[in-house]
Amino acid sequence: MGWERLLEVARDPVAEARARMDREGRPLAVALSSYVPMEILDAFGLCAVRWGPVAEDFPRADGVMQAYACSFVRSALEALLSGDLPAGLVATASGCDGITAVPGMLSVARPDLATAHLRLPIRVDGAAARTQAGRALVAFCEEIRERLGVPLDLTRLDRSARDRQEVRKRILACFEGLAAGSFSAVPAYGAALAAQAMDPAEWLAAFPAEPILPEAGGVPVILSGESVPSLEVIEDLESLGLRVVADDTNTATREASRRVALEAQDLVQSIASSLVDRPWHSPERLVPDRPTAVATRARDAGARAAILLHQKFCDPCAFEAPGLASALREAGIPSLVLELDRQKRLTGGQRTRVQTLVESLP
Amino acid sequence: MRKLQHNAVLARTIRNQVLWTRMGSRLGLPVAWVTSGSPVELVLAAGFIPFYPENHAAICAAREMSQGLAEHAEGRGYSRDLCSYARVDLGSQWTGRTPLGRLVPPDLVLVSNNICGTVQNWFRLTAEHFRVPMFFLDTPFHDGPPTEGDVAYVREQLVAMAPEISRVGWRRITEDRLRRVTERSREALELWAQVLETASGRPAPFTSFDAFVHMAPIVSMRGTRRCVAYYRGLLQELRQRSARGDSAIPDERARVIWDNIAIWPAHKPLKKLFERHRVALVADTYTSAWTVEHLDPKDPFTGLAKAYTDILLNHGVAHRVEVLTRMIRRFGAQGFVLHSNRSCKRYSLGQYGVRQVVTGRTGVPGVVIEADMADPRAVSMEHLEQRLVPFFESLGAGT
Repeated sequence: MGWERLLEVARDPVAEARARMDREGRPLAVALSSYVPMEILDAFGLCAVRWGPVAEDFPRADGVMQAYACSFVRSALEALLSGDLPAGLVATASGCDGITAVPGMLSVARPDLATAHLRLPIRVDGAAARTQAGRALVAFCEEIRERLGVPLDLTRLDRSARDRQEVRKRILACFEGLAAGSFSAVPAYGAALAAQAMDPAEWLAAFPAEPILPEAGGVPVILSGESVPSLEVIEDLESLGLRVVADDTNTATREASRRVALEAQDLVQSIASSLVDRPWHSPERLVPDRPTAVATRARDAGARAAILLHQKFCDPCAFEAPGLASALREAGIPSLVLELDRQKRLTGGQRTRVQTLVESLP
Repeated sequence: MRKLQHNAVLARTIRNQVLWTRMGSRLGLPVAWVTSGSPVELVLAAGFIPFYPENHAAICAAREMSQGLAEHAEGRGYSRDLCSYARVDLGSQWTGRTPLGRLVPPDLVLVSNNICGTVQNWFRLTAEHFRVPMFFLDTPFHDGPPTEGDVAYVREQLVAMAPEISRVGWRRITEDRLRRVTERSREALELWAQVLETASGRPAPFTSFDAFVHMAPIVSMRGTRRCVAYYRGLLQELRQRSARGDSAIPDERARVIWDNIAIWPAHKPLKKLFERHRVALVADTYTSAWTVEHLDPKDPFTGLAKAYTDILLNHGVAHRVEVLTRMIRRFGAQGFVLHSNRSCKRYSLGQYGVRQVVTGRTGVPGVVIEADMADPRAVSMEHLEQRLVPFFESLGAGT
């Protein structure tokens, strides 16, 4: 129990997903986007996990897609095609072109595997987007019901929505504690990564009351990017003298900042609205001034540098990077793009670049 | 093989369009930079002159300017892995270099994500560079026909943006104006569909290499009288060629279909390679993406919502399999070529599966070639020949 358990899951989420399936005797649902609301998958009686880890080799994925897709998508496909992740359902959400293509590719490579695509709006402003998100989520539920032949259990939805909201609140509190020095980055990311694979009730039971305090020192940085591929990357950054004080990743703050109005009459619509209204979005959504907002957050947290942790071939990140770097620079915060490809840890070259950044700071 | 007379007409038409954009801008007409899948009818109804950065990037590539422009964007931090049209066009905006002499800056940009997720980032940068408003039409991706909810969502956005566009424009968008523009778009699109259809004749009087070039007016001038007149003329010429038995490829030995955007840096050598092997590229999924069916002058907003949601690239693999299968049968093709385009993930990811299913259904083989639509550094004619020549030979075509 406690941190040991959460960090164990964070280090090997695939093993946890398989163990959960055996333990719970329920089909595995793999979500490939932080915009897939896991509470919906729970409510269909599925063992819901979010894909996060990156593989280092993808021979099967290379057979169904080109090498210029990001490692996140190729790793997920590899796990699904190899049987490492014995999924009963793969859930995707509209966003980048890579993830959008996954259901189509699976329909050929694994026609036996059920898929459901949540067609969320890309714009996240105003009532029209919320209405469309509601329609999309209803259609997504209908798609799962048709594919799996099981109904959405509203009682379970209510319970799961509450549990998952509590998980998100606690994760966000961990990350808010980074800037205040009341929490350490490795357990914070460990908690976030573990939440992607664990049952929310079990996660809440395992989450310890006592935080792990950070060691003194280290250059305070903000970490921005889509998906944190492993806990080891965070450990690598810390070992190089960085101390994460603010986060802007899908793995952590962006997703954890989502809030569902739990007392709303129509919980499905409420969940849909929470996806559109979440305070922190990925760059694939149309959000004005996201770079400025991230730079402000970095400055408020006392960050002296920024690490932009990107997957190679991630278009939304690559498009955002120069503008984000510029906004950070204007806030007096230098940044470094670390482009990960087929790797869980930083390469020697990337470690050297981080060291150079640290040494060049005044 | 005689050249199309309309090649000269096309050159004149494009030149006039460029001149008209410059002159109109000087006269105070507003200019809108739009994506190829944007509902251009809206800006035309508001009196804008539309300009298509994608077309512009293709012209830069065909005129061998794309590499330098792309490198300029890369120098500003934009990864070489990003869409080459975006890099080329942004490079052009930032340097002012263009094969068109001078670009007329926009008064607004209009974007729809029905062709990819890249355009929203690219055009946001454009809007920021020129400090003009950006209008974004969000079109939900789907397999199968768009749902009523999708159409309602898109329609609602169109209705909401019409008065805003009118405010920047030269005149107010009225239903009546929109109806007239939509009617012209519909007419031009029907003519264009008939133009493409002529290649189903044997021998084909026209190939997709011609279509890649002659699509320019349907992309950049649909909704105008000039566009309708242009395709009337082209259709007439092609019908005459068909009646005479004129062939685009002398002694046509095989017919194939193309998937994805043209390889502009290798357009001419690739065309020659096909000609040398007597292979007629009779149809493609790229130029026919504009055969929009739903435009309805009686209910223009709903028609536009349906038409621009139902664009090829806004569909998944299943629909693309249907389209290719239909084309292979309709045009009597013996093979198909899938251009795996590094620059266009929306178009390219899923092609391996498409090839497998289409071949399974039709018995017709397909080949995947790796290249790029505008970045010559990712195009190797040697590689293309190594992939295509054995494929052509397997179809019974050869030099």
